[in-house]
Amino acid sequence: MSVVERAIVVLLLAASVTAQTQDLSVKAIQKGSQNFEIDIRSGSATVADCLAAIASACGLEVQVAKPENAAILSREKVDVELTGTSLESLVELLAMAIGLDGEVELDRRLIVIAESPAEGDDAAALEHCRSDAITALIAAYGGSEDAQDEVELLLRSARLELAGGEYSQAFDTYQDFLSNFKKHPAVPEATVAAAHAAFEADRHEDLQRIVQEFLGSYPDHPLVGRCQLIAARSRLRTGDLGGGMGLLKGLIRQARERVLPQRDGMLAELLLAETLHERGEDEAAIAGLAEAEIRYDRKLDQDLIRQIRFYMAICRRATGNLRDALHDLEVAAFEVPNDALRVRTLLLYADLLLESGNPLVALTSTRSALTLNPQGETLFRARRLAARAYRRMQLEDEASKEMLALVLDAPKLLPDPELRRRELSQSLREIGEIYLDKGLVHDAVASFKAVINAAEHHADELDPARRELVAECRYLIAVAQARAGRHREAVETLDSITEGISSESLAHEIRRLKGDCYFESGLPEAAMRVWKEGEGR
Amino acid sequence: MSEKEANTIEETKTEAPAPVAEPSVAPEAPASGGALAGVRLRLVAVGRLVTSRGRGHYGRLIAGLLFLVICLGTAYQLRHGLVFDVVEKPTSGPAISEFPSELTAGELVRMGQGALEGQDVDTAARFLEEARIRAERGQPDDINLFVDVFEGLARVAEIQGRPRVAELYRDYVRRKQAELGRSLPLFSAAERDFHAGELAAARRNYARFLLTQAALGEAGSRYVQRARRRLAEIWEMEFERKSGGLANVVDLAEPKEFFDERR
Repeated sequence: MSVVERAIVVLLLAASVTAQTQDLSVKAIQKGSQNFEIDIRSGSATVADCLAAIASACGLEVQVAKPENAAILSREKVDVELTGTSLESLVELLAMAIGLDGEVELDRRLIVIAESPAEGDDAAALEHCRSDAITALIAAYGGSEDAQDEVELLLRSARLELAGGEYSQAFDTYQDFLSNFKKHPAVPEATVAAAHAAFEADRHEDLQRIVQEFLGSYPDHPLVGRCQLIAARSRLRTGDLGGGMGLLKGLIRQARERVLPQRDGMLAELLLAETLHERGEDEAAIAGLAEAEIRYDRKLDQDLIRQIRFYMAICRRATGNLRDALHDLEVAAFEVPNDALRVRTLLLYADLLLESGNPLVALTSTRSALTLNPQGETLFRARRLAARAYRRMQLEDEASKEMLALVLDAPKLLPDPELRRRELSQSLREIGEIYLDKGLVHDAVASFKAVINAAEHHADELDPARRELVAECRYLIAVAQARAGRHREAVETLDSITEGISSESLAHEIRRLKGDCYFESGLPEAAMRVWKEGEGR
Repeated sequence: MSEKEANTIEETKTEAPAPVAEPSVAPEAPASGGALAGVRLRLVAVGRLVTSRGRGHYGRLIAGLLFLVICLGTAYQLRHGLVFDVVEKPTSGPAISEFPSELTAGELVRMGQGALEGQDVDTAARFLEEARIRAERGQPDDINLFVDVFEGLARVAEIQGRPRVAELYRDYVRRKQAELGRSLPLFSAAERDFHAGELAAARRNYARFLLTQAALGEAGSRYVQRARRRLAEIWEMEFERKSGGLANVVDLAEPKEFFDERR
């Protein structure tokens, strides 16, 4: 915003002075360092005059964001008669009365008038409405001695805090309600919401406490299952796998006995299967999911039951059973209840088809996914799968085109920085592999080095997956160097791989390549020693 | 019984939903074709009467002037005349009512408002009409109570497709509010915007109203409170509209994704 666009009224007077014009009188008393208390009376003065008089009385400046806003201020008239009102609330009301937004920035000595952010439809407008709703609730219900008013204030504010992702604050607000209105009919729902807020805010001890209190007071309430489900998730997140899985199994048993609602049982089944899958117990996960699919009433909770085949496919793939995984995905593509899951299904299907050597059908599957959602993460993943498919079909030029496009578009397609970093590293490595296939050694090495740099840039948080990626890239650099006849450099690169070799196949490849390099460098004895070392293991 | 009274009763029978015999608002001519015809008939009769009595130019002049004054008086009454005619106001004895006698007019209004929220218009009308009767008997000076009753009746009439009657009730509400403070019409305008879903306009009018709150007396404080609550409600509604609706807190607590391959 340029200076020219700003209409600035500068009036500096000491605080606690009275500004008096024909129909307008303002008296400001400074209360502490951060607020003023204003008495104001005006008979149909323009808002600009009111603001100028207020600013004058408080020793502030008025800053108006745009000339058109300044025109509104000069044109619109208001009657004002307020006593002992806070400066902030007065400015806010004056601006709101003419459809604008007003804020006081005492540290900058400014009253800022701008267009109301609430008019838009973007995230800023949403946040503005949310925070103003909370402020307005406090103004409307705060300080009331009526208990019902306090309930309204607490529950409605907490709901808005929860919706805005202010989980810790939301938990505190719900906690206030739960402590002060123990017998209120809204306690069960508020407990579920508070537990959810505590879970998202990682306040796991608080979560377990309120869930226990609820179970003690309302042992037979229909929301008991939902509370236990959140408690189970909390235990899993804090690493108490035994406790979490125990709670989930208890929930499943009670749901199967129809003591708890089927939906809670279904959710517990899916969470348990997911946990088992993460622990590598995929056979148990598949068995649980298969039983859930037939045990529960398909007429109820269809949205959950129709997801089962997709999760079974993920588990089957982890067991190496590609054939059944592909079959499950073919069923899931028709069954899953929404497009987001259908896209995930189609992309996993493409991935598995690539693994099973069917790149052409894989390409078709990525295209289908793109028709459902041609943007964001889906576009990124579909392009990468398409590039892999082209590579399998030995269409390296097409593959590198897709890969380069997705690397360039990654910042806008993947807004989550952690996900972007991870996906970009993978993509760069794949580009390097394509270059390697095409014999462009220099370009290949450059790509692999970019991945290593990106990963090591965050050296403090090198997780096992990232270490593995770095090791793999170093190996691929060594492959490129060996292909270029730079065997000594290749051996040095291989020697630099000291960690991240998690798979035996990579370790074997490294030893084989190192032996090859020794051999090519005219050191057959050293080559034999390295090769034998590999065989000995 | 005069013709006007007859019209009033007719209006009560056809328009007002109250089950009791006591009439509610007796909107004059514009609300009913019969009432307008009655006024016209009366004017013609008076005109003929006074002109027939005059003798000579002087007498006719006086008679004409008298006729003019009556015409103007009647016109003024029509223009400003939302007349609350109480045909028969019982002065003693218990009310014959379907509602428990312990219920106050305020409680009945709240029940009526609740029924309106639930779109149960007939029940709302019965509650509000009874509230009006009890308010007239017990709290005739409680302006706020009357405002609530007639605002409710206006909404009932609106929903029942009787805009003219609704407007007459609202006119009464405005005049009652004006007794409380000069800025209350702003509050009424804001309420109208709010009910019409014009949230931005409602927000502006509530803010304008709140800017004048020191001018309102003690009786106006409830309007200030209501305006503040409406503002909170408006921001919540705006947020819900922009966010596509707030999820039920219990649904919100459900895990949304399983087996996330991005992890």
